[in-house]
Amino acid sequence: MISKQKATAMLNREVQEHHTAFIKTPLIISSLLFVAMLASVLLVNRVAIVGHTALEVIMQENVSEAWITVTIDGGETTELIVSEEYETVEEEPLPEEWNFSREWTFQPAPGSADKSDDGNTLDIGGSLDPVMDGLFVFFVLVMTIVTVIYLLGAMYHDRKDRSVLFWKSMPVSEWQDVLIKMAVAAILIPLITLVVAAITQVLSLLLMMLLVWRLDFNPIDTVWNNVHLLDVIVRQTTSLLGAAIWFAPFYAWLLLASAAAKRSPFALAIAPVLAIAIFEEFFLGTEYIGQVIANHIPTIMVQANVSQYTYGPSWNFSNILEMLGCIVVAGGFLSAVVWLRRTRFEL
Amino acid sequence: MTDSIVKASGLRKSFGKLAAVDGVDLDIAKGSILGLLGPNGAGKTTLLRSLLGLSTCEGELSVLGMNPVRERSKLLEEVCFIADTAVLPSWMKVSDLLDYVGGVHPRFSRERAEEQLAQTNILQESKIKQLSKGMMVQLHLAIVMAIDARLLILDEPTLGLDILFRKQFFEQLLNDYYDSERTIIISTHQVEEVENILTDIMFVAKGKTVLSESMENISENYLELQATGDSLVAAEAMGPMGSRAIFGGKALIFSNPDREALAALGELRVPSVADLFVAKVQLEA
Repeated sequence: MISKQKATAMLNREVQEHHTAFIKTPLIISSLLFVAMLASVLLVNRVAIVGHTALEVIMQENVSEAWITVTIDGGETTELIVSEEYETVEEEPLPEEWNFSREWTFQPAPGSADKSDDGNTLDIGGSLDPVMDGLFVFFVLVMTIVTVIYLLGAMYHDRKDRSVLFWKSMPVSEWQDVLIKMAVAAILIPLITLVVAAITQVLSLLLMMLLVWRLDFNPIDTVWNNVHLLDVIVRQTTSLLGAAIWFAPFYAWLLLASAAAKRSPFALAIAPVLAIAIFEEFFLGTEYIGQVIANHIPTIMVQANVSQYTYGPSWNFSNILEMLGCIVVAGGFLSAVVWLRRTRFEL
Repeated sequence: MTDSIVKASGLRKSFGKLAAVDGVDLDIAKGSILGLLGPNGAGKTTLLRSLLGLSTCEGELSVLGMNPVRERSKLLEEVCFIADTAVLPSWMKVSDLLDYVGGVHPRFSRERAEEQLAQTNILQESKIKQLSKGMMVQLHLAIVMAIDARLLILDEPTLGLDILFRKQFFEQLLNDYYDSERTIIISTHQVEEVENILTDIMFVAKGKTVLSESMENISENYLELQATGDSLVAAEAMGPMGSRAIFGGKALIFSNPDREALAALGELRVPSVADLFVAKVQLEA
């Protein structure tokens, strides 16, 4: 067993060493996404074409046209009707060419009002939950890259910079060391990802509501009531923890490559896998083992693996059995890591 | 009866055909400061790593009554070491390192470490990679001295440091750390700098123990005679274990000598550990 104080100190040490990857990277990505979304909201009120595109995206096919009211220096009002076919119907000729002092406001065309529920609600054509999942998958992709890089270096960098003997002079067993690093990959990084992704999702919803409000629709009915935020976040949390078990053999394998490598953990991690896949295909003529391995590698190449992150594994008998198998295989790999850490810790 | 901190018999460790440790016996008493001396490749580091459970070996071995391999993490609560190749993690800040050690080591006193650091130029906000090699060793020593350990193992701790740092290192160790409850094992090449603080010495060569004595016994059992001319010829006939050239003659080292007979041939004194070491290793070669 490990005391809470010791585990905290060990986890702190991992976060300190990888502060940029674990904390700064998701925050920077979240900030960039937020700035991009904010810019589009601000711009949509100033630049007609951006507003038009945003309008098109949000209105989709249910709202066929909107009115754009242009007031020139508080004077006469010109009404533009933006239709689905990108046609601008100019009812009266503009008294002058381009004028930046025009105030642009957006409002639904009178004829389209009856297409919404209460006259001020935009039918966005379904739930916004998939939009939330889309944002989440983006963070998961970054998380996966961070995790792979972390694990490949976790048992290698301290051997390379020769600080390994200092770490080994502390009363920390190899099992504690290895399990903490595994916990960082399987629990801590996903939790950081979840928190940052959830904040970004909430911010994106607020921005959507702001945008919709600027378009004179009801933000609560149009956006907030079309997303099941708590359900989405709870589902994403359980999925990520389920995915941690599903991909545990992959994580443990990377740690093993990191602990065994003399030069390149990356090469050591992929070479045997490729060798097995090629051997199986050319000599046995099957793809069974290759497929099993591919199913447990977090890659966007395999659709099922992406859905592991957003919808979690199906809790049927064969999947539960497979997940138990994942724990056993990961345990085997981690035992090998501990053995290497005890006996082959110097480059 | 003395309390044995380390007890070992028939320790062996081979790398392929090379026997790095070849049948070493140890019985290190509480409160002793043992100097482990030997040429490069003699097996000193392998022997020390066996004591720390960093390397497996054949034979009987008990450190503080524990098996170092099976109970390594528990053992390291009471055993500290500075390895010859140990480098502190360069990406850390000094204060982060103190936080870490404070978190994982139940016998570490942060206050004591800060007191030690206050006597140096090391700032807690500094990154370890900004420290010179000397400062890094000072930091490591400050951490080790802040741990209430029963056994301290130092494997070439002052390697690469200038004489001022080396002198300061051993003075600090003796004055601020050592007491009769603690035991220290030091492996070093700079014998002359530590011999005045040692209570025991052990010479190893090719994995075997060449000499293992207390410093008290060394002064009783070994003598160096400086002789010239006819006296030198007579002394050489008495079977010295080693000799070295001095101005106008030779310094001969004798084991269990006839003091009266030697006194008639020239000036007698207790040989330095370095000279005794060279004589012993040459004798074994």
